[in-house]
Amino acid sequence: MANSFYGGIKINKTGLSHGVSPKVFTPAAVAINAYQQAGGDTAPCIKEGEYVKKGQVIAVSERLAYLHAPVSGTVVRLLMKDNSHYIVIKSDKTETCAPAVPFSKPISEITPEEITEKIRTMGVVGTFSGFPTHVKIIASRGKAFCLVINCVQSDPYGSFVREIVKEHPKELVYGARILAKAIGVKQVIFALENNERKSFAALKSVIGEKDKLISVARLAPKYPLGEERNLLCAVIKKEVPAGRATHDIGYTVFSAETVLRIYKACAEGVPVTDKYLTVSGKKCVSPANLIVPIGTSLRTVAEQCGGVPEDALCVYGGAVNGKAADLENGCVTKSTSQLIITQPLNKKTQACIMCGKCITHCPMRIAPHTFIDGSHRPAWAKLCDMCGCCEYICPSEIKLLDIIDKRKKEESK
Amino acid sequence: MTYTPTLRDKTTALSFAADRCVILLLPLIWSVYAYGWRALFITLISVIFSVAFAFGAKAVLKQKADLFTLLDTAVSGAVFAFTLPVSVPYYIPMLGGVLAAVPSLWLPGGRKPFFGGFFAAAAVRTFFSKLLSRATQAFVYVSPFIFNPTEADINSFRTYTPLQLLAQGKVSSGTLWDQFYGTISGNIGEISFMLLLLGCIFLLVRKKMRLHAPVAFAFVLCLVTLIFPKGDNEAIFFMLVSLLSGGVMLTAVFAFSDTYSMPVTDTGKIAFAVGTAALTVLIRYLGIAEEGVYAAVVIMGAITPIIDRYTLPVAYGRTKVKGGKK
Ligand code: SF4
Ligand code: SF4
Repeated sequence: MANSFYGGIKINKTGLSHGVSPKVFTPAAVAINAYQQAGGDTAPCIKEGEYVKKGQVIAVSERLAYLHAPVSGTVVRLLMKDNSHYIVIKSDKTETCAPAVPFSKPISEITPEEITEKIRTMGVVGTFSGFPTHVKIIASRGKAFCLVINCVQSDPYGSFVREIVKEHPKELVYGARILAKAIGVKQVIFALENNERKSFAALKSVIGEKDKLISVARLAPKYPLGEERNLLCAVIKKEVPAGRATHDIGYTVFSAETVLRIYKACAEGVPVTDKYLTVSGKKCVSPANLIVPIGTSLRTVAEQCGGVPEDALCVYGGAVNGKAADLENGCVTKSTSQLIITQPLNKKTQACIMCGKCITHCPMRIAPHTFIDGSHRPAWAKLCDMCGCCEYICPSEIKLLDIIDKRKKEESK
Repeated sequence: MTYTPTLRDKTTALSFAADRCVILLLPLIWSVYAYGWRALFITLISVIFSVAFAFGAKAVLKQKADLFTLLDTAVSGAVFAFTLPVSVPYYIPMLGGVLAAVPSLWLPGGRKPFFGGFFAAAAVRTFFSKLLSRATQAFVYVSPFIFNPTEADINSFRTYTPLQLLAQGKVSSGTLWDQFYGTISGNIGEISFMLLLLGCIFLLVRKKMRLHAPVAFAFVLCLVTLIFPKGDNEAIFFMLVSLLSGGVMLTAVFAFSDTYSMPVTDTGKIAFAVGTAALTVLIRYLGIAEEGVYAAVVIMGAITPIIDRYTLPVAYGRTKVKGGKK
């Protein structure tokens, strides 16, 4: 099939019907983990008892993106837990915003460096990875000639990315132009699932017919299309050599939400204070896409959607590669993307029957069953991106993800 | 923290064994129609001995035996019975049933060295080749109540199977459709190419087997027989008789769906099938045995670990995407 990649699994989208627009709510209190970017901790720059406005900088760092207050209110506690700072803010429910700080000159006069710095101080980080966006921009600069905007959400439960694309095509295209300037690319491709007709039409009408810079690619939906390397495979039919980054072959991938954040940061001067996420699952009373302030506890999020029934299991992350959520202590971070409330699977693991299904479905074309007895090739553990296809498909219900995770840890030692 | 996926594919390991059991039924019913109750008795004896031996041995060895073991050894036992002519004495399925269960002792968690049914068939054929070549006509029934049919019992309706004729250098072109439908003399479960083909399609549709191995097997078998014809008729008939007769389809259906003794990767499966086809023709050609396919499968089974080692997939980012499910 054209516009797709090797392996992967077809799962029916069991989640939301399209069209649930993101809902906004404000929690009573938030606990922000200052260590929420891939790459390190940030240092709080406020004191206990201080009053903060929404959008005010609360933690800074030399290299990393800043953190901003997600709600207005009083800082009630600063604490250290598991080697990272936590900032607890009690909301005053007024949503008093700190003044926005957009660029003072028109976009065309701003240098790429200024844009990058703006993105950093506005706290933009990768939607799924938590990797600071400005670091990625700097790494891609000079190497990448094409920017791919990932508007795909292949997870069967997730749908907020689709909502963003449908609701904000203008902002996305504008953000893409800013980002293209910051990196210095000659080409921008919006990668879209081919069943997203409305989004496609919306994007097309914003871009216009004759645009040389931006185009839209439509791809066959399959899990895990959203993963960067699979996406590139589908869009340009090229693979990233092992151990290299995507910009080494001239492409760089940013997700739609990140681009929206970049637009907000640069054009409106609004920092990242909340996160789009999907709450869904078989046991979820009223599934929804939400816009949640960073630091909201996962329990509050779950309660927004009808709460968690007694026997239900709460999973944080993807439907086939998620982990059990810690409802009490877990908080929304800048890379939280979904919460699934469902019934547990109760796997009855048996011995591997050597059926080879995991191999035919692994997008990385490795042999997952070899991890079980440790006969895998050394490079494989690193290559695996924990997409969960193998575990989904395995007829023996083997917990391959756990096994691979263990092997990864053994190898990184 | 451990991973907790919330969705999974509905296929279970048990359904692999169960589907193979299901496709046993059609050829079995047909064989009862064509050969009478004795066919059923032979199959049942083989299955019972196979399962009993597996469970007994596993109890002694303190291994886990579950429903999967039951179904798996039942298939092995039944497939062994399918390779027998209906005139065999009842001690053959007893012995073969036990042999058919031997490879399952490597389970669970290991790899079976051979496909049990064919392992038994190859072994028994080596030692009892005389007994196993007494083919009888279809639709003439050997009484199910004779433990050991003597020559006198079956003399009046003895005949030769197309394969036996082939071994003598005679290629009969008039019986091809009979071979296809299964209205000609042969072994219990092998006579009807059509019913086995249906089973094959069932497995393919239910995704319990991939198309690669059967196709490669049939292709190479046809190719080799076309290039090196034998016998007194045209090459095309040699090819068709070779393809339609004996355990060829039985291999494609039951040996290739035995995940435990097949290579894991698609490439490996193709290599296995190609090797089996080539060996089959070689054995038939040299006249070592009429029915080369069982020995071929066993030989290939023995080198499966080697095939496995050399056919591991080429990981993402190592080369260009080649073929595969794109
Ligand atoms: S081995 Fe890794 S990359 Fe391959 S299917 Fe499993 S989780 Fe995905
Ligand atoms: S899918 Fe499961 S049973 Fe099949 S080969 Fe892979 S690990 Fe083994």
